[in-house]
Amino acid sequence: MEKLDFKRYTFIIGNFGSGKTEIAINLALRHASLGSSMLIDMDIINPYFKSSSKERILRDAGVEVVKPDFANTTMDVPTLPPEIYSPFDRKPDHAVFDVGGDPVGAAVLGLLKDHVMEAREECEFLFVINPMRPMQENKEAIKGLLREMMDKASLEVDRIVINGNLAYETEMEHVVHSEKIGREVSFDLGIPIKCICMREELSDEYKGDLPVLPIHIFMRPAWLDERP
Amino acid sequence: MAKKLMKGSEAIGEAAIQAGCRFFFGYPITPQNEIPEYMSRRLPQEGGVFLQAESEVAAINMVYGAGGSGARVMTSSSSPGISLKQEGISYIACAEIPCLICNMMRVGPGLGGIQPAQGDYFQATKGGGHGDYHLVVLAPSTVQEAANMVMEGFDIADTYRIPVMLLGDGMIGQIMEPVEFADYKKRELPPKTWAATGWDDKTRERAVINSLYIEPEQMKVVSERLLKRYALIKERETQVELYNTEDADYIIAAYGTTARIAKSAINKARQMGIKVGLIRPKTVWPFPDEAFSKAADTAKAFITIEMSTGQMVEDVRLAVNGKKPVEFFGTLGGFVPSTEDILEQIIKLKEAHE
Repeated sequence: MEKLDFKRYTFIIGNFGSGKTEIAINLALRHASLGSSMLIDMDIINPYFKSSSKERILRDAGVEVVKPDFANTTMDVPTLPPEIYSPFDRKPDHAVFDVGGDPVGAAVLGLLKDHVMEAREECEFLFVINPMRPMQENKEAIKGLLREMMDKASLEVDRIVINGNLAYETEMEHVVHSEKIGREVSFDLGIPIKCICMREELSDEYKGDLPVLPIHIFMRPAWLDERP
Repeated sequence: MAKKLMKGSEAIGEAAIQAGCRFFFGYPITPQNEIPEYMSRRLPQEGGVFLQAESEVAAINMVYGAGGSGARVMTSSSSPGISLKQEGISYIACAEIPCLICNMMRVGPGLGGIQPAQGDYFQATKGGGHGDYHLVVLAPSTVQEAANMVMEGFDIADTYRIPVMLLGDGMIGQIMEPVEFADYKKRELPPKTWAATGWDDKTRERAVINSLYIEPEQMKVVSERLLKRYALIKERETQVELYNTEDADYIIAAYGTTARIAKSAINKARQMGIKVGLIRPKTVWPFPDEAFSKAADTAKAFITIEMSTGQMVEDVRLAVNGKKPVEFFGTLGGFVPSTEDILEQIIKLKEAHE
């Protein structure tokens, strides 16, 4: 299996509900075990489930967290602090940018455009897909969203991350189905696949040949997925 | 259709479309913006109308108009926005116009904040607007249930010519869960002969949509008709879920997200040998009084758990009618209680009423 390496700056974009935030947290923690790691929560459109709400877990593991000014308060003021630029000056070993969902959320990337242009070789834009989401069921729908997001944020997507999931009801069949659609999108657009994600309990069952990023679930409260 | 991973707000939008709703009028407010957002993408695909009005007041009056012409129509908002709609809701109730109104409650009073809460229970179940009227108020506790209730809500609205409210807390609107849209089985509905759809053939009486009755005799007729209808709705449409209540010494009363966390706490308490169950009103109006008065014969004590300072607890006390003590536990500020918070309350309740 191919080894999974990440560039210094990883930008995670995609449809809301594609799983960007869980991926960002998992990546930041993985990076923290290898060196200095930053997580920049740029999600200004999701009112409740932001990566910075897991700040304590992240900080305890050595991840430095930058978050929207009013994140995790009851204020609904979508502004970002100047610290979002700091990874480009301080050059940590790895920085993960968790960008808000949909074209609206991705628009904030425009703020970083100059910094990205200067360090483009060290940047990787990952587009997360989850074909279990509404209006994302097939390759045409996913390609449409991808193009729309690239326009809004004026950026090129470097790699696709396949993260087909139905939350706690995800089975291997959903992973396999999502891989098929992800490969179609990749083929049509000529954008390579970075990796495939799945709950850590499922990753042993995976028989395919894509690099696997196992996901530990942080964002869902336990009562949500409890079954009597 | 296979399951999809959907936010509560998206599932509400999709369910409305599948139930034949083709008109949405609203004004944005967090935490329910994903409903208008979803409708703005999907309704044009179905030949429907999505319109962002200039205000909540305008939006509810557009609902009044579209509903008056017989269309399946909905609006959605969150607490402060729902307050703005109250005048229109009262008019719609008086004019006997079916429609669906979604309130994804956020913390208040005032502009409050965007975190989930259940502080609009009084507003939803005791009027909200002026005058003598009721809405049917459905309170989902999962994304799937929210979708099902939207479909059923439209049918209830058409059956009784009554505005129906889907009362969710912000959490229901924001969480993502797998949802399946089973084929929507419409109830047998009466034809909308009352709708203002034109008078070209002049073969029927003019349809007049109105909520102004200057003559007291006429106003009395309307109120008596509504009163009778509310009694019928109470008899036929009351819905409640009982969870582990058969042998329960202690009963939790909760609805929406809080009920779900209560179930998780009940599972833990049962492992500790505490016989505790849940009565979850699925309709908070009409309120399932009977389930509570029946349980009061055998249970030792009740506790109502809400994300508020204590609102539904009043209806629980009325239903229990002094037979047993009814305690209250509430979280404020937009905080959602944890399983452990509720477990602690169960243990306290047991110790106080052994």
